[in-house]
Amino acid sequence: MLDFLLSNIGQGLIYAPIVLGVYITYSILDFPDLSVDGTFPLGAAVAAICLTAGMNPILSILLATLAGAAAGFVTGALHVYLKITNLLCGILVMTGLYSINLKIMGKANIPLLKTTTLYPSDVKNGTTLNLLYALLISLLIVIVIKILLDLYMKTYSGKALLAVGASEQLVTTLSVNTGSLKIAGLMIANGLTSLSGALMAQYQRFADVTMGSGTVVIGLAAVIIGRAVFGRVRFIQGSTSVIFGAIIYKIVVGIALKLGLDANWMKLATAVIFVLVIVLQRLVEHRQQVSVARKGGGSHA
Amino acid sequence: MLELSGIYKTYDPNLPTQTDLFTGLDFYVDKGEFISIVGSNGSGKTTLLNIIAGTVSCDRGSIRIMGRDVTKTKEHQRARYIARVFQDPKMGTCPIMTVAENLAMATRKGKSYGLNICLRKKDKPRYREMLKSLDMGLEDKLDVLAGQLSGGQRQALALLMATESKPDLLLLDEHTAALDPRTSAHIMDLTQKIVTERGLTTLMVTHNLAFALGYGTRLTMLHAGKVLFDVGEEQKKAQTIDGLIEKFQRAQGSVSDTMVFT
Repeated sequence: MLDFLLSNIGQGLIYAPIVLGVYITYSILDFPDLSVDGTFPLGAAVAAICLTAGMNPILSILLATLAGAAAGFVTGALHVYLKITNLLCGILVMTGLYSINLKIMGKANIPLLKTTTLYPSDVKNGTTLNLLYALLISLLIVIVIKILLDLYMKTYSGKALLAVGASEQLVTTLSVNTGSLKIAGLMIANGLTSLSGALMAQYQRFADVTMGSGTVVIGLAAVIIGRAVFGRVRFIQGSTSVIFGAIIYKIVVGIALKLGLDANWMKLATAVIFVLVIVLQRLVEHRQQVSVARKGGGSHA
Repeated sequence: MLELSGIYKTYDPNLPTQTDLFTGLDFYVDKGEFISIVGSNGSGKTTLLNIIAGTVSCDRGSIRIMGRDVTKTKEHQRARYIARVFQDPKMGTCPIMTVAENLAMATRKGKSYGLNICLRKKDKPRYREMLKSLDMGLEDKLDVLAGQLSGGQRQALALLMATESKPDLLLLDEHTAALDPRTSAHIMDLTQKIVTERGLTTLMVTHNLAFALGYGTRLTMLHAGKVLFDVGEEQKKAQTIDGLIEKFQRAQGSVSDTMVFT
């Protein structure tokens, strides 16, 4: 039981950067960004070849993050400069990245069994202590990212990014280029997703070109679970709530597997969980509205 | 200070719905003028403001602000000289940021929105003073989300935010139209006060003929993309609401106007 929790919380934390990224693109910028399905394996691919070449694991993660940010730049530039719709930009970049990821890796799968990574070597079937150690490493990384992101959201640039999604015209009126802000948001989000990919490759000790499929759904599911459980609050609490969303998501999936769900049903299960959470969220919101209305409503002028 | 010369604008060119709105419009504004712009729906009032602000580009013609040619300048770059308040309070304030954060963003206009911390504690007393002058009870709501304010409060905040950077040109696009009569009267008084205090050159589009006559130093009536009527302060005083309605009807040739008179 303890091992189960440690393992799933640990893996949930590895997904947390993706979820923070999806939170920025989907919740803040109102940009459903599908390119994360390509930037997750991109991060894994970059980290894998760096590690095989004997590079420091932390440095490999930083390089992977930069690669993801570059891909995010392409998604944003397609949207902002070529006026391609946001969904299509993500699909195009995700599709293009498949070839790029294969090219980077040179083959469809790179094992990292004998390479030094951030994580202990036998974490998959490891001891409780190893699992705990792996969890703490992920936790440390996620905390650093969260603090940096929360700090950024307190700056003028961060506030402007927040405002772009909610009232784009205001940001333009303040003489700020909303296009550059959107691109910056996508670069952060995809950089974070690649960072997750690099962590995942080190954790599971392989990079695979297909490991990205469904990333965006996992990210969205975790964002929505987090926000449904902890409510719609301001950014600092928001970033915490979506991190917990990632952990809860992973535990739910872990339980499903434990109960004997065939791993091949995994993606379908994710999609179904996603729909269920949205339906539940609507019901909760509806009930809140009804109760507000019964109290006599607000005093809106 | 604002010169529009030979402005052409056609919507939906080469389609059955093609509309030639402006065909060589000339429009000049002197520094310090406060112009009320009236006109029925489709007369080009809002498009005129959009062309000035750069939200909509014109097909031909030139736009100069304080002698600078801004015809090709992007909207967010033109915004350095221009401030704007819209009918929809969402467009002038950010609902998911607090009142103080909104003000912090607005007072930053003209400088870089980089990695400096946006809202500092030491700024709050200054913001409280600024809000007090609005007389809308906003000085006690610094940490309330702008989205939770009433429409009137949000519009007053939007007005303060727009004028804080002392723009060369203030554009008001039916900025009281979504408010109840009492609140819109208060917002108009505030507008007058701020515009006079700061000596702002102002263009105000309104459907409210009483406001159009009661405020401002010049009255311009647009119809089908042309200036139908344009009078200065003295002649403006001689106009009545009924007189204006008659001018509209004569121009329209019918009474079946969708415009709302108040």
